[in-house]
Amino acid sequence: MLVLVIGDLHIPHRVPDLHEKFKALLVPGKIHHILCPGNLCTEATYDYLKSICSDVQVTQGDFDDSSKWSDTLVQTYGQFRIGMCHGHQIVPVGDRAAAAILQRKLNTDILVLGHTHAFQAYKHEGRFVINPGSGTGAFSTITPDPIPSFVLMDIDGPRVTVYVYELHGEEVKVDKIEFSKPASL
Amino acid sequence: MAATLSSAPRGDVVGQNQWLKEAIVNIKRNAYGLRKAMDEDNVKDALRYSAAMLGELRTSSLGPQKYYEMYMQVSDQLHFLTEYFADEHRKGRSYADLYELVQHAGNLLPRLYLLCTVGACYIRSRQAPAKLILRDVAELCRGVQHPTRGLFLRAYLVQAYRSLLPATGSPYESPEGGNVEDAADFLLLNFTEMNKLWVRLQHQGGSADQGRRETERRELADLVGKNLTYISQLEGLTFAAYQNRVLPRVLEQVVSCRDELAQQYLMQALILAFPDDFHLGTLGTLLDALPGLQPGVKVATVLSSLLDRLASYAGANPTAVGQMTEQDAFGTLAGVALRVTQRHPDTLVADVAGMYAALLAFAGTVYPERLEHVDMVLGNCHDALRSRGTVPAGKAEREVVALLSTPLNKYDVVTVLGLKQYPAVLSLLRPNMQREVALNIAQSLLRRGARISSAEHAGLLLGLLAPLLHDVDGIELDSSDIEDDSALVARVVHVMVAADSDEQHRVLDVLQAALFPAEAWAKRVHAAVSALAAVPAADAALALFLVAAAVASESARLELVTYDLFEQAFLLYEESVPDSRRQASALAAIVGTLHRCRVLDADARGALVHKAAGYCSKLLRRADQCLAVLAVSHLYYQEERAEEGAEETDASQSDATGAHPAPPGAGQDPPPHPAVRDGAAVLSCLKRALRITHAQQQQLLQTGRGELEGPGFLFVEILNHYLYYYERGVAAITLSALQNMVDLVASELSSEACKESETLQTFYANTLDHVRRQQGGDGAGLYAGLRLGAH
Repeated sequence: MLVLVIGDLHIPHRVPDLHEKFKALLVPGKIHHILCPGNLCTEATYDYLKSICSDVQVTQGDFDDSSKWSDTLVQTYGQFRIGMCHGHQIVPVGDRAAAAILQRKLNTDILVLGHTHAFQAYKHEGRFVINPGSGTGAFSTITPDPIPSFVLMDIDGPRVTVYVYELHGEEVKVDKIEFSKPASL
Repeated sequence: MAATLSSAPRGDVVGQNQWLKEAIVNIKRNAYGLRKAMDEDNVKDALRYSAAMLGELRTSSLGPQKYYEMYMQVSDQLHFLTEYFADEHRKGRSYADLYELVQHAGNLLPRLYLLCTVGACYIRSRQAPAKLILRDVAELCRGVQHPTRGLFLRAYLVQAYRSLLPATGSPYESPEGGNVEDAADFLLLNFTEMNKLWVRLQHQGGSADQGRRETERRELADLVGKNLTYISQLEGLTFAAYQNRVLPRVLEQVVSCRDELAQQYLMQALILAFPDDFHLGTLGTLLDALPGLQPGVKVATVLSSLLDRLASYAGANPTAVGQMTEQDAFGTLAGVALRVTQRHPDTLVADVAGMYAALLAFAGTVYPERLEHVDMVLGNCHDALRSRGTVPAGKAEREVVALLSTPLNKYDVVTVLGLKQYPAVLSLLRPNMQREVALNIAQSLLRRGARISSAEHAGLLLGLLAPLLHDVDGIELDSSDIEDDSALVARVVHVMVAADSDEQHRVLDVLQAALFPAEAWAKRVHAAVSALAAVPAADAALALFLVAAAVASESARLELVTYDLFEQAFLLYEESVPDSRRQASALAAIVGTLHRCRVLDADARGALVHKAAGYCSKLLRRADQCLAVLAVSHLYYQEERAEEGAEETDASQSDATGAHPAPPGAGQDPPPHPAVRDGAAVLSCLKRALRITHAQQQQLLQTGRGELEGPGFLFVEILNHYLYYYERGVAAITLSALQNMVDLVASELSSEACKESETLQTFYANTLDHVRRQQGGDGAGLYAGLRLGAH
């Protein structure tokens, strides 16, 4: 099962569009679910994500035009409970121990966060945290010169393979991280 | 025999059907006789039955449609006769003999069909020179001057002989049999004769049936046009032969027939049939014929077909471009187009637009560098259509939109901005179509990744995009359209990037002039905001102030500016954030940003923190109050930064940009202030959160509330914060204070209400699990004395 995780696009406020190289990768019909931690920022961008895959889950970002999204949500894909929150509400920003409190509360195997515009994936107390970075590499006060990035999770039984797509100049670089669900959880 | 009775009146469908039915019965009966005679090898009977069958074609009672059905029946049978003649020939009967024999048929029409059939066999046997037979039959067929009968007889003639023509390389080519020119002459003669018959069909009968006859004639057009197709397919037909022999005779016939329908059809057929290089070589002759056509002929359509052909030819064939340039094809064609619109001012708008769209495509393909050509076409089109008013919906509109789309597809948007006549043509469209084109322009600009790098271009672009910027009379948009337009324009703004800051300022001035002071825009923003109650304008502005504050603090290191921006954000928070959920979210964002800002000195920061802390108790719901207080607790505790040593380079970088003026009184960037570590204040926040939770608990005993915001959750949340600070070594959180908290939560969580919530118990279990992990790992020393109780 393929789950696309892409957020902090900031279209049209900070960038005109998603890069063509990324658009070319995100073709309809391959992805089963889309998780967007927030900051689309308009309905048009939501519609674009919808055109890639009909199941698009969004949490509220601090720059979304609409305030209709919820602050946190939990989805179960295969054997994984996945929680999501944009993260501008978490103080201190980007703090792992603070994020861990949310992780405990949502009781998820994977927590998806946004806001920092920097790709991050780490294991914390047996659980996994993923920040896909900004899909467009939009300006951020937290991360200088963000690199456009998104994440594709391939969920297969108790294992998830996390593919990280980063755009360096005109070149797309792909990295791979594996995570297995601990038996005790 | 039915053929001789001309009883049923023409035009009577029932009568015609009846007649056709009887005729087909006769044909079948005679065909049976023919087969029998052929089986019995009785030549005389075979010819007799054939002639009787063919006699049915002598009728005047059928319209062309029904006549065609009958013709198909007969010509199927003639196929068997052809085979029979070949058999007879193999048995020793000479074709000369047969050729003589069939001429004994009593009636002219059957005799000619039979003659054609035998003649074809004669040529195929190569016992007679093709040229002689062809000339003979073509001449003899002149004997039938009835339009329908004549047309079908000659259609049969062409069908029977098209594979027997002495074209170059064909087995029938020889000094006696003739060459490709004789083949062309045969088809040309047939073409001329058929066209005359076809034109005459119009004038048969009374004037009441004019309309119906025109429809019937349209159905027969291909019979005539096929002659041209076959000429173009002749092997060995040289350009010289086309130029000197074929084209003059075709044009002469087309012009002299003075028939609108024939001229319209045949000019298009001529253009479609022959190769592009032939047209290019005879462009002058072809164009000279246009003025001689009947006034009703749609010359614009004819010219469009020609231009389409030439444009695709030039696109596929670079050498043709040189040839076109040499003979100034564009100038000639543009001149003709101009004369067409002047001479026929009543040409349909769709046809005029279609012609200019074709001319523009031609100019774009042949002379891609010559933008003045494109501009001239746009200008001429505008001149031709200006007096006709707004282009109406339908084909005309589609053509004009196509005309405007060609340069967008061919060039980039920046090039299109250089076309002075483009806005003029755009203005001919209905307002909502202008908007469609504007959308196309904006999307094309974004798709191609172009940059608008001068104020002049920015102005021109915004002129074209006007329908997206403000209300236009005649366009009714709903709120989602307006939202989409605004989002698109916002994306376009990102590509307006000048090379230097002076020009960028001018670009921004142009942008501001286009977007903001216009009354219409103000009206529209107001309408959009009112219509979309969901647009959180204050939230967005607040979030922007926070971004600006973070930049002012962490990049620019401007203390006063940072402070001022927080004040602005606070002002918005106090006055404009509409509901409690968004207040809670906005307060979290404020606290998160303030936590990161290190440029403020203790007093300034203290004032802001105090204010933020004050907001907590003003939140509507206790749960929000509690969570906000927990967030605020972090404002009293900052981490030392890993990159603290790198601060100096950061500071020198912000010096180098120099774009931001220093705040008054600040001679140089202030150093970042040390991390705030006020454990007592942290603890006081945690206690305050606890008090709020207790208060909520009391309140809820009466009301009851959603579990995720219930006191149980808040207790566990607070416990997590105790653990957070304890692990960081905040001295105010002592082991005994923590133990008290753990015990308190354990007792609260064992209440009946809390036990019911699985989600809450999981949160609690996860929290305890965290402590146990610590006790068994890095935090073993820290947590050594902590008892987690029986849970």
